[in-house]
Amino acid sequence: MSTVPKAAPRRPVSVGDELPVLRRTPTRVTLFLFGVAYWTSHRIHYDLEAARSEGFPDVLVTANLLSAYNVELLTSWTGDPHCVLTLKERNIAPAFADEELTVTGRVVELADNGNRPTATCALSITKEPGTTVAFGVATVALRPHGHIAHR
Amino acid sequence: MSGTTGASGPVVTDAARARIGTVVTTYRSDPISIRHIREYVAATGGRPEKIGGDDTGEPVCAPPLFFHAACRPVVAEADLRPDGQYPFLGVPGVWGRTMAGGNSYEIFGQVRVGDVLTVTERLQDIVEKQGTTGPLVFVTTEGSYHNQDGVLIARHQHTVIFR
Repeated sequence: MSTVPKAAPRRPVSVGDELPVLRRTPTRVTLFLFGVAYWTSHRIHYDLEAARSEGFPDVLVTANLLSAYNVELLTSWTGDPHCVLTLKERNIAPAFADEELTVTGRVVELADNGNRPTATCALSITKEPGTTVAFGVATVALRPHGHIAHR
Repeated sequence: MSGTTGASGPVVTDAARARIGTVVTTYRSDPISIRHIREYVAATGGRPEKIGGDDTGEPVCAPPLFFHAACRPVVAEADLRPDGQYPFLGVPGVWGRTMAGGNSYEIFGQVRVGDVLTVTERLQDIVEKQGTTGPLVFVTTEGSYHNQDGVLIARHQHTVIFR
């Protein structure tokens, strides 16, 4: 006997909605792990002396790890791990190991696209004291009728 | 030419400028493994043990940006530049200390365990500017990622700043 899965509760999305804030503090260990998975050998991501020789106070967070945090923000919000259609980012200032990063997003546009509604979100990664690390904009696929999973 | 850190500022050769608009790199990945996906998930704050291992029979899919990690060539230490960077970052003929300038991703399909990806990277532009701390060179490339069936999985535009 088969069972019909219970539909996940959904809620509508509106322009101006704020995405639940994501906070991440990548450590030097995080950067090591990312260096392995991403095969990043650039010294400024793991070698403190090399980072300091280039004028930085600590090792730098890899930009593509910041991209992954933006993706996490978006997929956590929609409940769909494959919702991200586009993601565009501009790196403004470096982030360093052990700095807390605050990842935020806001819905700025909705589109119907027939049976494939989407939301465009403005993204920002900041650190204390009020420094913007990266700006971004992303388009994500929504569920039919422009909903996301209810959390 | 590797081994140049560009401590005195970025260098751009005419040969590099002449390659704008051309394909500068092609690379075919190894078959995508659960192991590599787990490493990526662990590195980005997720739980690697949740990847694969269930009995659903469903193919294991990678996170959205994994395609890029899958197509990073493994380079011998002897071939790296003194700052640890790849010798072929951006385009041959541009040297200097590097920083990320930005990324733009378009995702068209999912990457599954066993897939083999091929990236074709085209040099889009080389822009030389005077920054507040000295000359800067912005090198932008765009990579197109196809799977073994020829399906376009993703495009990735990447700007590296040489300083």
